[in-house]
Amino acid sequence: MIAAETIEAERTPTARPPVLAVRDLAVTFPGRVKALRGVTLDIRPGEIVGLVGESGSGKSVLALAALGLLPPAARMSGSVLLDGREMVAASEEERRLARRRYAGAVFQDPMTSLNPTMKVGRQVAEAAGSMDAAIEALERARVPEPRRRAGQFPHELSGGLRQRVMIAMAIAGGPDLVVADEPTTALDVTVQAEILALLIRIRDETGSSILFVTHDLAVAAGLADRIAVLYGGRLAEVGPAADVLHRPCHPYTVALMAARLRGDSPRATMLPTLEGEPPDPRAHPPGCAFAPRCPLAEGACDAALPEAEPAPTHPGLVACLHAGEGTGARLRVREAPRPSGDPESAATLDGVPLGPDPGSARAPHGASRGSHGGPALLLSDITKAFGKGDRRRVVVDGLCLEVPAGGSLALVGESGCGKTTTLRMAVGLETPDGGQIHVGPGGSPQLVFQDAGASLTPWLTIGEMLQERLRTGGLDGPARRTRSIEVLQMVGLPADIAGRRPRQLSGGQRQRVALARAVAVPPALLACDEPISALDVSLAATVLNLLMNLRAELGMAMLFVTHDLAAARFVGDRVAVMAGGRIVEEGPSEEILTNPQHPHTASLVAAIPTFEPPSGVASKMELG
Amino acid sequence: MGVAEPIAFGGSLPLRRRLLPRLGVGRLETAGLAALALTTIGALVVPLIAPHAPTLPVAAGPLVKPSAAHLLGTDDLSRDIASRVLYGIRSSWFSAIAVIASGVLIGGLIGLVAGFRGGWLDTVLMRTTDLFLALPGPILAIAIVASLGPSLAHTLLAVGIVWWPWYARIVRGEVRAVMVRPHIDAARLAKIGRMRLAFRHALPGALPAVLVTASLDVGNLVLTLAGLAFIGLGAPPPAPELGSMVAQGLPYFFGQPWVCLAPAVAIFVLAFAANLAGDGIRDLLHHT
Amino acid sequence: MKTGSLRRVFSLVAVVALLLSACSKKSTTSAASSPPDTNGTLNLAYLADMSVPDPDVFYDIEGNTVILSAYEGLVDYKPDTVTIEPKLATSWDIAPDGLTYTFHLRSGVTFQDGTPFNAAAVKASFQRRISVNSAPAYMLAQVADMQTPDPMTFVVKLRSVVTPFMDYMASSWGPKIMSPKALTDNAGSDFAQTWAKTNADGTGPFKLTAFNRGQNYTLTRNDSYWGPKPNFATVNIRIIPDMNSQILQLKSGGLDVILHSFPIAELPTAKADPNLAIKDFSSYLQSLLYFNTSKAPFNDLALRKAVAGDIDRDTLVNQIYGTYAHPAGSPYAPGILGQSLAPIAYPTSTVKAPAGAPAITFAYTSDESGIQSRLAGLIQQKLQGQGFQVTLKEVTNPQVYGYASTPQTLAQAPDILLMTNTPDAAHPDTWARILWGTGGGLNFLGYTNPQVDTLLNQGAASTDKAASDQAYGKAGRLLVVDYGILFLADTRDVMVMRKNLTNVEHVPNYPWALRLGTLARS
Repeated sequence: MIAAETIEAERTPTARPPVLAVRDLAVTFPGRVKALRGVTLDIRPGEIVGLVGESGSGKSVLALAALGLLPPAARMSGSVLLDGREMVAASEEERRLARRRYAGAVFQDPMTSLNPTMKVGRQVAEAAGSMDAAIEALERARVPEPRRRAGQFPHELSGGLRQRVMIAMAIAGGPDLVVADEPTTALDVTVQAEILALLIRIRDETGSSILFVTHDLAVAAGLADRIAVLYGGRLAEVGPAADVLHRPCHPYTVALMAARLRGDSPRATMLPTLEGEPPDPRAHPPGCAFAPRCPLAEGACDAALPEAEPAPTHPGLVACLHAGEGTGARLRVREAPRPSGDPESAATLDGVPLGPDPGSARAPHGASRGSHGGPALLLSDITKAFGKGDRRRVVVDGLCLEVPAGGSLALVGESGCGKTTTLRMAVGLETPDGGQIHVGPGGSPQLVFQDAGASLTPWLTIGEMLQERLRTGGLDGPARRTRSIEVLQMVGLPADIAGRRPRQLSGGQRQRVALARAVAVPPALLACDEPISALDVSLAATVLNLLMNLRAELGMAMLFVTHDLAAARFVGDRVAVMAGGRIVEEGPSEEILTNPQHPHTASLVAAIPTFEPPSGVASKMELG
Repeated sequence: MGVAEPIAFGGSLPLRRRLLPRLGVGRLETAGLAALALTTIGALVVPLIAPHAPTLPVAAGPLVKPSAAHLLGTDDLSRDIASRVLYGIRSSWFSAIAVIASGVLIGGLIGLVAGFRGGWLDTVLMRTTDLFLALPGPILAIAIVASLGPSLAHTLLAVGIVWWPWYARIVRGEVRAVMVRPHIDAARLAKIGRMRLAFRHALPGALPAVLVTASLDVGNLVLTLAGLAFIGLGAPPPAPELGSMVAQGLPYFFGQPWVCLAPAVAIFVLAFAANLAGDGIRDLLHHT
Repeated sequence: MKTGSLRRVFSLVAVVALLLSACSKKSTTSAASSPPDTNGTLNLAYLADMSVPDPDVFYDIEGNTVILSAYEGLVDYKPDTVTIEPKLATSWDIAPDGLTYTFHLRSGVTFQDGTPFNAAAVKASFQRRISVNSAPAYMLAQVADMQTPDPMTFVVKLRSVVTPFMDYMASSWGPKIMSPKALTDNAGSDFAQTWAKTNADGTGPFKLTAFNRGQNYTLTRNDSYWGPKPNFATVNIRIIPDMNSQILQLKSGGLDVILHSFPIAELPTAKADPNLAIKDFSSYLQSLLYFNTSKAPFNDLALRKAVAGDIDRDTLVNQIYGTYAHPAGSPYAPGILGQSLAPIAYPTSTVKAPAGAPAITFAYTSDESGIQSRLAGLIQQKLQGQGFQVTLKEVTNPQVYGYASTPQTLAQAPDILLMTNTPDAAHPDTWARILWGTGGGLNFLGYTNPQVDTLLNQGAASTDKAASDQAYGKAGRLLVVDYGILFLADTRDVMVMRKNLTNVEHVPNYPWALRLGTLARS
């Protein structure tokens, strides 16, 4: 139970009451799922609070609790005061009224939040009260040509524009608090940057507070005044953004910062990752939730839940018995030299013959894998269009691309540039309308899909899927079983995973399984479609490391599609930038990032989130 | 949002309803599954538990009121009604299941081919399906019985002919939906053969919808078959069939109402049990 | 397609609907209930439409009430007897050679349209029957000449002796006198048959004022009737295809009489109802089991005999009919011919089916009383108990009439046919000739025996009643020992009516009908 005095310890005096006052909020769902276990947090008027946490941390639940949108099945204790109105014990009607008057919400996927059958203007008008107010809100959200856009349907707008419409709806009623739950996760980097800037501007113009929920520290860094880090349903650390980022006290925050992929992360070493996985909300350990993974943990940490205390290095709070002791040197993160990507050093695996895949029509028979038989992938002047007549869209327009055997190429671009289509053509799922595709000798190209979980057949066990893949390898039943266990181990999964079905696995495990299937019969080319865009920071790091390892072991070439330039630089030897269906710039990864030539590349580079708060914010906060 | 299991929002049941806690099965589903199991087992063991033969006269004579010796009385031909009802339930239940099984098999196969292959084959198969959908069931049954003679098999044939199109459409729709999902592409990349792809990677996606429809269909079919038997299409006398038992009992409606009420109530109970089972299976599939 | 089946489809809906409506009426149990405000209307019901109210075409049974109310013949039967009594003819003479009949007609009679009744009208009607030449035309087949020496005398000359000629005149299907004006005005090209499909114009006590097929027929009192005025001003006959609906209507007072097919098993409930009375009358209705002797297995006399014994006829009849029928003692119903002249004996046996005996198709016509199907079911049960394989088949009247049309159809026809039927008139010739005479109208499975035909002609040509009876008797005996048709029961004509109906008159030869002219309500 947090005493009121502790709140006042945060040295930010203000005369007005907080817009959101959460006191010791605990939320439990049926099935003993403890989503939040006693969170206390204030949001002051005009403040942007970044709420950071991984899956299972409870950040979305907190956001919904603030809006009073939790279902009746959720059991809540504690209090949530929205502009002084109690939301926990309130009736549905009371919550609705409070929401309408004091809050606005922006969620991750505008397509599901917007009514696809209603024109955008009408939907905003419903929130704003009148069409004129709606146009004004759209203008505030910097929607270009607001009157014209108001007459369109959601599917006619781009992702970024849809999100602006959502923001317009959120601010239309002049709310005191805007709750944004991962609003930019699905957006391109450049669009993300714009939306973040927009939110800041809105706060400046209207004085609304913003509760910004994200799993990405860097994104939070881009706009938050204060950052609160959630772990295992409790607040790990909270404080001014700059302090939390640069002088973190909680070992978890420290680890997050260390594991973050940056535009200048050293390419020579693996990414530092955190061992273990976030706790299961049904089975929290008795003491500190982070203790099982914490390098500083000792007996007392497992005994009782640490309370939030003033942080040693900044004006905020931290809940850790060893706050401030964890710095980079003492923190046990796995760093290891990065395996070399030389394809010649890769050997056949365990004596199992890995000849050319008889199912691959495009690989010449008899050629052995790993020979210098030319590039792993060569795309010459590829074109592809979809639709007919008026609705014909040219998606790929005279594209040329080469991935040398064993090399790795990152293909970067914004959504709609045609990179996914290119990838699908490279592996053979689509056929180009024009041009030629040449695939080097070896196993047929494989693809790791963007949504790994959906790429696994839900009703088959992992073992069955792996063994299916191995059928073309010329192995008999028992040998296939053995090999599938091997493959699982290669991706860091225990053997008993083979007996489970995809829905019994966590997201990270599913990702690894998808990888395992892709490399079970080592392909000459492994294509990856945004494999980390939807992942938590620590998971993303793990996956990237895994990809590097596999590449080294198997000598595969990699074609890596992403909109994240930092990841592209880390993974790829070379980077190709794609826009409008063709390659606009290509070169070694370091050079591309440090010295972009093409204006499109330059804008992408500029949009990489850094860990500097936007200028001017820090000074504002100090004024209180 | 990170890739993780979504927390179950609603749809789960309070802990106190712990009838089958491990499966997360609630009261409706339990009742439904119990209905299904009891009816099927019951239908199977009827020859063992029926007190009398369904077509032979009993010593008590005709139109005897329900009593200890004959729980549902006897009919106008001195047959024990309780035994006839039991055999009638057995016949209805297995007939319904047979028709649905054939519908699922035929319709499922056609729907699978149509959904899987797409293109002109899909069009041809679906237009053919539409043709069969347009056939009126009872009229077809009458026509078939008129030409081939009255028998249960002929009636079931007629009903089966008009029943499979529904399943073809369902399976085709579900398979089409599955075919655009990433796991199909992934399976293609894994070099999985077409047959395997169709039966192991596409078809199981259609199973829940088919199961739900089939289980809810049983009740529907029980009523349809009873209706057809009522107007004389079904197993010819003296076979015990609930619908024709009701029709034959009508002249005794005022004086000996149990003769037609007993089979009528049996039809109702059977249809109710079937619908309950269907609801239960549907809920079970939606929760898993 | 069986009409009975469609009826049943409606029946269930109708029963439910009527049950709901009947539940709201409280009249069934209060003893002092009076029927709803009817203003002298008699409510009757038919299970199906009659064919047509055209007396020269009509040959079914249910429409008797309509025909006999709107039209009259020259003579009539006295209720409950076979005595012929005057009607439109006050007296008649038969020449000793039996070839000339002279009828003295009643004066002061007019048709319902006002035209006076006279000999010319009789001749016109007789002529019309011969011209229309439909089912009942055979009665006038031997008419050589008709004369009208004066307006009130009508003379008929026959080619040969027709012993049942007077019975033909009295039969409910006998010649009826239709208004000559109506016949001329509406002659058209078919002797006014089209007009007669929905209209009637006779001398009877009621006028047919409405004929709505499928719904109802209305008879209105003929105020210029020559005889005693009918008590009821209107008779409304509704088409109610379902027996249970009729019973509900009867119980609640919506119907006054159920004329036929009341389920015997339900009679106890009628007995228990204080407002209802059960009346059973003698009739010539007989329940018959035809054998298809044209093909196996019943081309074998021994097998026919075995079946006759196996069905245990007497127990069967008692079980199903109770007191409302007797096991038939003779092919001729009591009253038609002396029972001892052609006695029946089907001693009970338990003869097993011979090995390899083919399956037997047993057809029966459905009826709303459930008796036919119950009989069929019991017979099937009994025969199957002896190892026979019997398949039951419900058939319709049109189907039945088609069985004997050609040898091919007969070969496809069922092996056994169960039906109930009645002679055209109270004379043995009107039964034997049509039932087991070669080509007879009711000889549905084509039984043929040349000896029988010879005997029938002998009987018909003889003017000596005793000799004639002997001939008919012998013809009956031949049928009995040949087991061509089994006679199951002589059934009574059972009606259930509201207790307050009086002056109930019934003629055995007019089954399912009452004399509406005399019926009254107290």
